[in-house]
Amino acid sequence: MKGKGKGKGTKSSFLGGARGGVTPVAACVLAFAFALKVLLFPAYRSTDFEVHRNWLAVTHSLPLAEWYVDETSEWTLDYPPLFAWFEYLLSLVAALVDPEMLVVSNLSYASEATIAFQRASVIATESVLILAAYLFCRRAKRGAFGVLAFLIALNPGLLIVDHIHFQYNGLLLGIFMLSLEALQRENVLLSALLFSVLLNMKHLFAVAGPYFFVYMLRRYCFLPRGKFSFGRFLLLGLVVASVCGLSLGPFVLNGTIGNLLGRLFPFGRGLCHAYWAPNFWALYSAADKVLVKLARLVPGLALDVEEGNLAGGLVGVAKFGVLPQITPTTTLVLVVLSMAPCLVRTWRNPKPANVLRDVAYVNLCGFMFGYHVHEKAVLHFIIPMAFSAVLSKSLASDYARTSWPAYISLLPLLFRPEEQLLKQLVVAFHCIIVTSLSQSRGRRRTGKGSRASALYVPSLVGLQVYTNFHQVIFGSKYAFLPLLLMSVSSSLGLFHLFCRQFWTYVV
Amino acid sequence: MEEAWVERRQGTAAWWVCAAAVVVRVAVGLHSYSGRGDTPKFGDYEAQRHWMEITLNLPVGEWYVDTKDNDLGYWGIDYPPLSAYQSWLHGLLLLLLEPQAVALGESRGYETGTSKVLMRATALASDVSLMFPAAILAMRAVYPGERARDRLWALALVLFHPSFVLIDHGHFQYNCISLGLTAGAVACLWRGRQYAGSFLYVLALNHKHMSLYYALAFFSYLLGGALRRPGLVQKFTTVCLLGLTVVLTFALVWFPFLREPGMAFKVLGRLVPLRRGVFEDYVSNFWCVSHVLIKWKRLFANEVMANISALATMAACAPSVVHQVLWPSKKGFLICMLNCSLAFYLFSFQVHEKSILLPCLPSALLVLENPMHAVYFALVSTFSMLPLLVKDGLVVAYGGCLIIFCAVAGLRTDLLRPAWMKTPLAASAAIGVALSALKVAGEPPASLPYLFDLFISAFAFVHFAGFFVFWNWKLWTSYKVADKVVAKME
Repeated sequence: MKGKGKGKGTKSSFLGGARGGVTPVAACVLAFAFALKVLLFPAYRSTDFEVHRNWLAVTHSLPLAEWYVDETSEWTLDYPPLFAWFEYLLSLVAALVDPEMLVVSNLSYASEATIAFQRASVIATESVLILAAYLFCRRAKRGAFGVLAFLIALNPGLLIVDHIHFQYNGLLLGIFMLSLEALQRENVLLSALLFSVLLNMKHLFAVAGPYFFVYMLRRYCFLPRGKFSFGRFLLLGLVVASVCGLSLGPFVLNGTIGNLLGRLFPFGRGLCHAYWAPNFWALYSAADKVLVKLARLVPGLALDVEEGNLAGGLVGVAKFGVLPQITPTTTLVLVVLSMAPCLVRTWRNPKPANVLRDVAYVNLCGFMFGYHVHEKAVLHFIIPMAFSAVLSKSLASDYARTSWPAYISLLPLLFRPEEQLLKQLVVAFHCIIVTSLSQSRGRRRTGKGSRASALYVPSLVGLQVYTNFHQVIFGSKYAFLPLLLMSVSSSLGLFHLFCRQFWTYVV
Repeated sequence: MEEAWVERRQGTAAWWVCAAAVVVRVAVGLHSYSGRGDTPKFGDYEAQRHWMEITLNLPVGEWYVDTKDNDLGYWGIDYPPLSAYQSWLHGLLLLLLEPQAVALGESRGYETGTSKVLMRATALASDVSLMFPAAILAMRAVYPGERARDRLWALALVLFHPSFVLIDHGHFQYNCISLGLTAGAVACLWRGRQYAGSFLYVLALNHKHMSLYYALAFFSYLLGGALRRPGLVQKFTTVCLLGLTVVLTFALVWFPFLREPGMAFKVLGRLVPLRRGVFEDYVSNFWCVSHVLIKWKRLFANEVMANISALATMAACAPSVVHQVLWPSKKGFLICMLNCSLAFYLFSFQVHEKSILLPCLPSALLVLENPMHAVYFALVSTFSMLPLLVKDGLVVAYGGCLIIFCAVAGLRTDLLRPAWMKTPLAASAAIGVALSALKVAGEPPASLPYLFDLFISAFAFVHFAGFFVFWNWKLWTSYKVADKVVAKME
């Protein structure tokens, strides 16, 4: 009953704000979001639900040495050790709820108690992200937390990925945002601690590593007069090393570190995920498809290409027909190159005020050019953007424009008829409100870009609406077409955002 | 920041409330429904599906008649014709997209994921197309002078009303249609359009005859208004025109059944549930709760009991009805609606726990008159249906809907007034939560399997009785002046 009580001390009767961060509106939004997530208990669950149930079982029932060795389930533990420890902590509670879910051989076990427990654990751990939002808003204007609570607690991306599809991004992003908050408060050691903890929970966040390194080195290790402080550098290194040591050490000692690393860095995966994440490689693959079709028209040109190897949804190493093949090294180089301007700027002038925006950009680079990127990774840059949308007026419209392709690209994750209306409503609701909020702050879109972007969102929405009727029109024919169109059009929007931001860093 | 935004965009803000209400309804729709997988009789969901099957496949003349294809013993249609037409209309959607769901005879107990989505969609469409606009219009009509954001809050309380959401989109019924039509009728009467109001109310009555709970209120208010007319002729013509509206509307709805002599009586016979007892399961009304002390069902035969309860109901309605005939006023009319429907719920024959939805509507429309009462009435009404919701597997939805409603209600920080009410309210809420927990998680003693249900009924009954006394007292002390507008009603 967060809705009641919190706003008591205030005189104003309606929508009036308390002095602290939590206004009645914020409390209402949080309680509403909580209840909505509870209502989503019976919604669709992806295999990730079973993945996490299995990890609960593995960490609870097996000795440490077998955590990264056990192969009873096909969903083996492939997150770093601290996440495994997190699952272990959860399993202590789970044992009180339904011990059956902790039996390793109980594959695909999903009793009502198990579902309720796992769903509740997602809701509960997401409070870390809410806490981060609250801390960020302490220094902001009155009412900022109300808006941010809406953007975060009712975030369609988190609703779809965490509370329906099932993952713990709320917790991970929460730790990420907490470390950024510490960075903004100049508490660099705490930030380093949190970030290393995060890296040892989900190593994909390493994309932001270079930025953290450059920022901390420049801001913390160099004293105000420009003199390098070796002591501070050592302290920072000690914090990071001790977290990694605590996390990885036990597995070095029991000799399973090889298995662990093999799980964390699987080879043999393709450039693109089964469903193309809306990044640069989606455009690249689509361009290749078109070129292959065109090349077929040229007589006497032999192409070394198998049919349907990308859109077929195979998780394997893809081969391009016309365009050059892409190796993991190529993607790594591109990621580093794309974030380089931002890193250089940070090296020159590391400012706390820029942290949110820079980190969002760096994560966007990782998303744009990374190898085997999941569509869920849009959360890694859209959530920091949501935070910055509240704190900085100029970034609000950036967030609003990006939210359309970013959230729409998550929609194919849910394919059951039960969730069709729900997912689209939630996304539309969020995006329209955000757009209207950002415009009402007096930043009407002007200039050259306005006409193209004015056309972009309606056509994206139109396409999304079309996907609902594709099956009615074509039956099971061209089933890949809506997915392909959606990922290509979403990636256009996100790539445009990337180009604009890249340009601002270069100039 | 957000306050300014609400102020500036009051027009569109209503859309956001509606959109959020749709999201909540869809989310509740993910949960179970009444009689899911419960062969051979299933529940209300199967009843509605079966009606679609019957209305789609049989000629109108056979809808209410026991035939080879229409076994009235198996969820025979027992709602008035408008419900049957609505079943036919909604059935078309299923016929188009999943015809096997409404195949005659073969579709009994048809339950698939997709047909559930379609069924839920029909309930949602009815709600959005009738209840939503009616609630908006009613709030505009009843509170034209209030601040727009207060009106928005009032609208949100109607649209997030946990009882409305849970019964229509969880348990599965179409109360939103009759309640929406009634809310539309209220809006019309408040705007002085008595004929349009009567028309809509008769439609509501013809969708769900339970709307009869409101009949005395409409009757007394309209009669009182007519009697305020200057001159005997004008009085007389107004009454006649109102009567004509009612008769014509009835004729319109019943037209297919009037062509064949005797058919209308057969339909009527289906609507009157005299064969059943004075109450069913555990209802928070007078008969059920006092049954602990006085065994009504054993003392009196069903027919006698029907007469006794009818007398008691009339007696309970009388003060409000008399008041409205003497001093018809708009606010008084709404209170009279609340009092009469509550009187029917508390004292009439064959009451279901879901009948509490009827008093919920006028109570919700009176929200800005007495915010605390309306909010608490909504909470208690949902609580009173907990045994049903537990049976339907809607416990999680129950909790979620209550929290959402509290969250919306809590936006108004002056809700808990007067201040001395805080302690009794907190005590009552604590007992309510405790009883809910007991019902959901506790194991009743083997000799008294319905003990917790009785606790819930009795506890809710005390509140309803309190509301009933309060609003009767309020009506007689505060509204003894007739609206001038009523007298001038055109």
